[in-house]
Amino acid sequence: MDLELTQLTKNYGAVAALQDVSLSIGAGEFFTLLGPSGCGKTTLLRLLAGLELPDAGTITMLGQDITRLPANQRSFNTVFQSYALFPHMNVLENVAYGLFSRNYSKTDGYERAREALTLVRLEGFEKRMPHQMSGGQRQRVAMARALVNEPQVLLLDEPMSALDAKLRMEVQVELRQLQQRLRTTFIMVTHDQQEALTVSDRVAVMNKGKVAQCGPVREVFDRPATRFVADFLGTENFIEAERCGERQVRTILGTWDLTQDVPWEKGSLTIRPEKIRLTESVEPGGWDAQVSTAVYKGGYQVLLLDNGLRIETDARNSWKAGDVVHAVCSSDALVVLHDE
Amino acid sequence: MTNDTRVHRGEVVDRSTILGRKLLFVVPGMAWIVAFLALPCLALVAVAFASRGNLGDVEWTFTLENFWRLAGKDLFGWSPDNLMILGRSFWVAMVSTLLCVILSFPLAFFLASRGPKARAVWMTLLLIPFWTNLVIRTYAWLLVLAPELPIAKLLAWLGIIQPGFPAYPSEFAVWIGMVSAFLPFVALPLYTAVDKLDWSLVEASQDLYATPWRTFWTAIWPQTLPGISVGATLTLVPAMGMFVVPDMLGGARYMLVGNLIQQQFGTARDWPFGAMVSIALMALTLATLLMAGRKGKEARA
Repeated sequence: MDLELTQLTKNYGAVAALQDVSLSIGAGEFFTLLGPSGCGKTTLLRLLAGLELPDAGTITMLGQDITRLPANQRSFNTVFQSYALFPHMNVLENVAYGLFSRNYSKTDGYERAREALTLVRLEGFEKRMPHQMSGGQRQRVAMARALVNEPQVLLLDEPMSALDAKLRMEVQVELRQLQQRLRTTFIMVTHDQQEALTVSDRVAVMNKGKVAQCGPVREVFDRPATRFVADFLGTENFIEAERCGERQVRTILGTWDLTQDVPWEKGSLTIRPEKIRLTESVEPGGWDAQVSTAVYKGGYQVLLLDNGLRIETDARNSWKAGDVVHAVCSSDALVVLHDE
Repeated sequence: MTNDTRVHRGEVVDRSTILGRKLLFVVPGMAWIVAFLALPCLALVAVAFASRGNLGDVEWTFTLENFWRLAGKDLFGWSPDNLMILGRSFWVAMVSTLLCVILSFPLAFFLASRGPKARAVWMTLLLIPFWTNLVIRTYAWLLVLAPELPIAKLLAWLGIIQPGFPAYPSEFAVWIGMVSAFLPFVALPLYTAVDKLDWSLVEASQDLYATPWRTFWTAIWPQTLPGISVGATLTLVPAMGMFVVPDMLGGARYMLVGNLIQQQFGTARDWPFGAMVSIALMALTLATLLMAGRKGKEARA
């Protein structure tokens, strides 16, 4: 592994922003720190950028301890949340800033800054001032300003938060493509699970200063480890269960076989709303419920059931409140949560 | 609706009503400025080109004598004394302003980094001298710079003044007095600028490999420039005409233009020459501000 974070701890007065966080991040990976506000993800990013020092723990890059290396000596560059472009410098000067800090010649620096602007498709904007550009353009200037330095790691602090929803999707795809092309390690902070899914290779879901779960996006999304992670990733279905066999549980909806071992006597299961399958008639392990609210979403519809579960299903059948549905939770879609 | 009427903020009025209302609001302020600023200035110009009567009165015969006298003409030929006084005043005002700016930076950052309670205390300490009369404050410096006290002793030990003498009158004492009189004028606007500083620019600069010096000039200085220019103007303008401080701390040999003007209108009873010197001071001040303004515009462009 490339970048190694070991037992990082940071307190702000009595508030523990980070507690014993350890992570490994590989070269060329798009890694996302995902969590609600106040979970410590931004603090972690600032420790990586060298803008804050941890109270305990170490950060090593390729085996070299960089925990206390000041920001201006780290080959990590940041895209700030508000972009932090220098308002009195034009786009080209902004992008060349990091190069001139390291004494590049005028011609060489501007030459490379122009190349970086081409990379983010901003040719022709060299002489513009930041305030003359749109949010999306400024974000790309910020990207160019960071990438022109060819950083070992690019840090992105909620880079999409200032963009409107429609643009956001576009920029996410672009960001992903850019990272794939450059093969630079990207570490992004976000609170938007959809964004994390779109761009990342791996994701660490954080809560209250700790890493709740870390793994490849698909794995974290499909197999959330705790109720917090499941909830944060938009799984709203939680089913209380009791163990009645090595891989069997009893719930109010019936007795189900699972594909995972059950580590507890009493606990909960979760299933994503789109993984609950509606059937024509009652099937073994299936259950009945009444629709209490049906919401048409265009491409799909959401059914809120009287037993508290939520189903997302295709829009072919137009369900309405009061209808009775037959449903099945297939065993491989059920996830056993490991809450203490 | 005729050509002369229109809807103005939901009310149909004709043009002369609007004009009348505008005048109603503008006239009192304008009248004040004309009566107490424009007319006295014109009077000053008029007096500057009149001559002094034998009894110190103003004789209304047009002459350029005062101008030539300011430029250095005297009974025995030419002497640069008056121009030197103007030059020295400019120099003292510039250096005082510069010292105030330099000293204000750490002060402003110190204030801005305190908690709300400590900040109120420090702010009060900064402002207390403001509530004291300038003459009294300057007298206080006479005591502080007295021969038996540490500053004079230190200067004597360094060989700058003779032992047993006070640290005044001297250029050094003038600067102490000037800086202490004007420091809050720079420190307060600067503090306001520092307080709302966008630190993400500082962090961006650090993130982009800048040295602390480069970070200061590109991330902090441009953001504090509005505060600095307000403070520098508030200091430079009165500092150019200051006469209390140089009179008390600089001694007779360290005359500034303020003292010269005071002398002409006071003891010398030569109003025409005093008026000419005043005009020269005003012109110098305006020219400096215009230059600074143009520089500022260039820097922003």
